[in-house]
Amino acid sequence: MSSVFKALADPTRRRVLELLREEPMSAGEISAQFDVSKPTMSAHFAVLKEAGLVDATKQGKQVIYRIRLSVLEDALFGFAQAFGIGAPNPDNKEDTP
Amino acid sequence: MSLDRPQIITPLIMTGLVVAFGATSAWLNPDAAWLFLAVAAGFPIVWLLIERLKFRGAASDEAIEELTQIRNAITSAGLMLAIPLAMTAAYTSQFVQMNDDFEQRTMGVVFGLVFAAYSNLVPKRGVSLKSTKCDRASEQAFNRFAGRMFMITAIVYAAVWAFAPLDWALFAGMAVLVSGIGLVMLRRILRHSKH
Repeated sequence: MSSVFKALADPTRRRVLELLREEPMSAGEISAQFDVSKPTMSAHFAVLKEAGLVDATKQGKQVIYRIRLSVLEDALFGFAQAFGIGAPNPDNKEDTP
Repeated sequence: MSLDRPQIITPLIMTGLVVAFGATSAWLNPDAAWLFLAVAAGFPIVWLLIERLKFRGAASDEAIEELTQIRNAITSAGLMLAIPLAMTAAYTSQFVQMNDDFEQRTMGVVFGLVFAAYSNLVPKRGVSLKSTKCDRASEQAFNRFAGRMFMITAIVYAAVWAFAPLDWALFAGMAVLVSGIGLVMLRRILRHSKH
């Protein structure tokens, strides 16, 4: 459970989940939405995967990410969003996972 | 993959408890308890045997996940059987002052909570809608809707059994279940007709 809290505490990872909530996306499509380096983004994906909040499937050369939130995790995610836990620092563009 | 000891210990303990409670109730009141005992004892044992056969030699992540799901299902099924058996044993032994109303209410609440636990995982595990040829975004949205709706249904069902007058708890509980499941099915049908 602590891995879920850790994953949801970061605004970048929450933004990733928000995007994936709409539809499954490739790693490239998600990364294009953020102004962070590829290794940083990969680390964010790894944290989300470890928490079991997303899963990744390979389709050809692409890795497709898909959201995997239980009802309670979804509610927790909603709370984290609503109360802005770990709000992004405008001076710090590179979020470290 | 062979099952190691910790993986089978929970269902075995559960089966042992079911058999012990069943045997006690059968001993105290043979006419009423034998059928229940046979079902209660046989069901988890057969399930365990199937589980062992199915996963013998398997080692993939999918197999391990499936095995975990089955173990959880056996545990919750065992729980559903063990609680009324324990209550029957307590009732027939007359160690505890208990009436039929209390037993019915407890079973209703337990069913609601088990249903809620499963509902929680509906969006996570997902239901494939490949047959409807709908896109993945729609499938994801449907699973989220189904999970939430089942969760609300389960909580309301448990609350009805806990607090409503017993005279209409059965009717109200069924109405809640049918409404919740009906709404999910309706959305499924609408999705199907759109694609």
